[in-house]
Amino acid sequence: MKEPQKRFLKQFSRMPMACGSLVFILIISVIAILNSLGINLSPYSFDQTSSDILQSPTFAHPMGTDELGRDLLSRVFFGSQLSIGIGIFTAVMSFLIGTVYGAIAGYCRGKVDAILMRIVDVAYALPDLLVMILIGVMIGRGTLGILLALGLVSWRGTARLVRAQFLQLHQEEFIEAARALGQNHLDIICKHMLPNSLGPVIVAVTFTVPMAILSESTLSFIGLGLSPPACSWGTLASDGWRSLRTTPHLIFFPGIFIFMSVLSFNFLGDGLRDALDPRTKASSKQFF
Amino acid sequence: MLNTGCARQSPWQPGILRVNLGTEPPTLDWHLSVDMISFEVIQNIMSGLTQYSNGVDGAKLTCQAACAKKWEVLDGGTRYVFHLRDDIYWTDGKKLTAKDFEYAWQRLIDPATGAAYAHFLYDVINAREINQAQIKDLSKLGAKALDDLTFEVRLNKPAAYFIYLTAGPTTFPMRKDIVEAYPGRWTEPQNIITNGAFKLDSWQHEYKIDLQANEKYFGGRPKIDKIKMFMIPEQSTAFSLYQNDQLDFIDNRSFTTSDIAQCKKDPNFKTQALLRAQYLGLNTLKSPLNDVRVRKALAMSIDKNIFPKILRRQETPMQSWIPPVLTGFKQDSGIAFNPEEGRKLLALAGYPGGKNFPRTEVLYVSREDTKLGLEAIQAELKKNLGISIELVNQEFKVYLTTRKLHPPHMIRASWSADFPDTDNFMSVFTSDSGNNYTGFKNKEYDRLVEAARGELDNEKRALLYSQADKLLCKENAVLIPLYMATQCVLYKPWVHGIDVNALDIQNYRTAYLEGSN
Repeated sequence: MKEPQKRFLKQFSRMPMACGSLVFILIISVIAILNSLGINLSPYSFDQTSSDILQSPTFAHPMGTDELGRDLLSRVFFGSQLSIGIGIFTAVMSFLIGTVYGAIAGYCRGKVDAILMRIVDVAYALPDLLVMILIGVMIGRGTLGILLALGLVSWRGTARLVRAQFLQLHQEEFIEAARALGQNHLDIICKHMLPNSLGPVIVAVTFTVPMAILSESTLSFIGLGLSPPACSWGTLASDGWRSLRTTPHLIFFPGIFIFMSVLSFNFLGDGLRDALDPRTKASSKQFF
Repeated sequence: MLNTGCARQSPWQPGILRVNLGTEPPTLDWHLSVDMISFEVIQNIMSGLTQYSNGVDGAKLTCQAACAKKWEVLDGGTRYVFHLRDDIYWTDGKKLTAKDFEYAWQRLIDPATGAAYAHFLYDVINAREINQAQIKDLSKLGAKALDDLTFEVRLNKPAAYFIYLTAGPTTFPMRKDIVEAYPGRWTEPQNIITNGAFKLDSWQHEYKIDLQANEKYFGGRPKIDKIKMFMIPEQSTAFSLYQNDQLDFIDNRSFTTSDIAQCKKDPNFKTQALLRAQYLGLNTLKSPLNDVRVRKALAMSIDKNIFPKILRRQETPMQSWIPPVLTGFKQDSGIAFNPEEGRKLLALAGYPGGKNFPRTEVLYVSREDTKLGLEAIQAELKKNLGISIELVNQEFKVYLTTRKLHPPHMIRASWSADFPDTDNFMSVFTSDSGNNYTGFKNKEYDRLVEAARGELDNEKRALLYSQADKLLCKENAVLIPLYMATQCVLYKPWVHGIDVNALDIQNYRTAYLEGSN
């Protein structure tokens, strides 16, 4: 293994919170993937109604049942598909669009950069929620609408970040050397500039996952998300909110999952940043 | 709660009743409104020829004198003469005359008005012809002011339920000068002129309507000074406000199903059976529902006994369109729960086991309990027929427009009786009804309903109605009746004198607030 990778792993493994978060994310992801492959870890289906209405957590239903007698555990598992899926998809969208956009602006500089960045400024000025609602209304309810809406508002930060990295790298000697040796633009971008700017970008992208999970919850909460019986953690929380007073387990469990995964992605992002940044000294690490 | 040390305020304000309308009333023009929210406001600011006695049983509501001090039924039930009181004034001081009724009734059936309830007056001479633009002259209508205080109505043939119409908002008087002076804006607070117990003081759209006691109300000034009608669509929010003493009187619109258990513990909780049928209207023109076998299969595969269990408001499951308390009800007029037969019919229609069943949408109003009921239906259809239906929710006003202009496959709708007679239910699905969004047009059905309307012998009438009901629900499966709703109300101990009745008319004129702080 190369030296930087070793150093990264060593740094990362010293942070128990980040490692724990990674484990939690992996577990959730496995549940989500199994669920989307049709393998259900719970004995009930997510839309299977029964006459056991609004039961508190028991052995048969570890998270209780909802107003239609559906097992909440299987609904939370089913919801993880959409919540985690949306989180990861948004991160990928944000990474792809943001990196390409930022790279063009940062590499070309001058007029191209000015025009591209003003577009980003305009996009930044639009309120996220409004844009998402607009796209949701245009495309219609459902997973596709949410995915597109979240993807389209999440790339701007990444674009700015990549551009800034590129502008910085232009000054570096190895870039000048590559240029002097006559390498073409694509090679310079792909072989030299991108790998050197990826660290901060990966960290930023990690933070878009919890942002997306929360945004999806928000959209579903205000009724623009999925149409029933499909559910995500957001819709579960939104439905559970009604019965906060009488059957708090309906909001407690999906709430805990949203909370835990958002926290985990944030810790993971923190951990990655510290481990990837050679300037942070191991001694100055936070207590976790 | 934190006690901040301030002097404790009274939880209620003397003379001010705070209620929740739920949503913005689409219109306060009583010729155009079709919904309970608008009617709730209109009932309190307007008064008609007669008014309902306060009663509990839906079938026993009777009409009492209001603007008309007495009326005569002449010529074997085809001529009504109303004698108006001569001490009734509009809020601008002008005296109410029979001309105001004449104008209102003419405007109601004028095709240019486009009133959905115009067909209510079809029994009046020439009303149908005018409304269908066969007669252009509005003054040909058989409802005339004989003098300032006498209003005469002539009917084509006797109609047993006619008197009930005069208590409903549709036939309330209207001021010609005001309506014509402010076209399209006459219902705004600065323009509207009314004659009821309260007057419209302010209307902050999407937030609140304020009603003020009408000092000149002919029935005596109401005991409360002001009603604040808030528009809080979220049931849980409204319930929190009630619990924090921000609302004094709430009903179904203001608590969620899961709050019911808690509400039932309150001594001031009442449940009232309503003449309000909840149903799925099926679009008989749109594939795959244009196949009667598919419609029947759907109707057979929803177990209606789940509704009282899930919604927990003592709902009565329904099979037929005629409610159990009204003339013509028969248990076997509708389609009974029979998923096996349903599967067979669906297979015959070309969708064995629900395979290849096209995308089918149900449109509903964004309300939490409506959605819950629909999710249950969705699960029933999936379990029993193997088909998935898609739920589409819309805000109330948008929903009303969509179902009128682009009716989807199914609509989740609710029919609240305007008067306690079977005719009110049956005439929803006649060919010329403005409330029939199913595309169902059936000459035989129209004939039966028409015949029952004029039939004075109650037994024959019941027979005609049950035949029509069978044709509608069993043979054509135009709609799937779900359940009869109830109204649950919860009021603070200082609220007195509000009666709830089967028509869900909430009249606040008898309400008063009293109690220790």
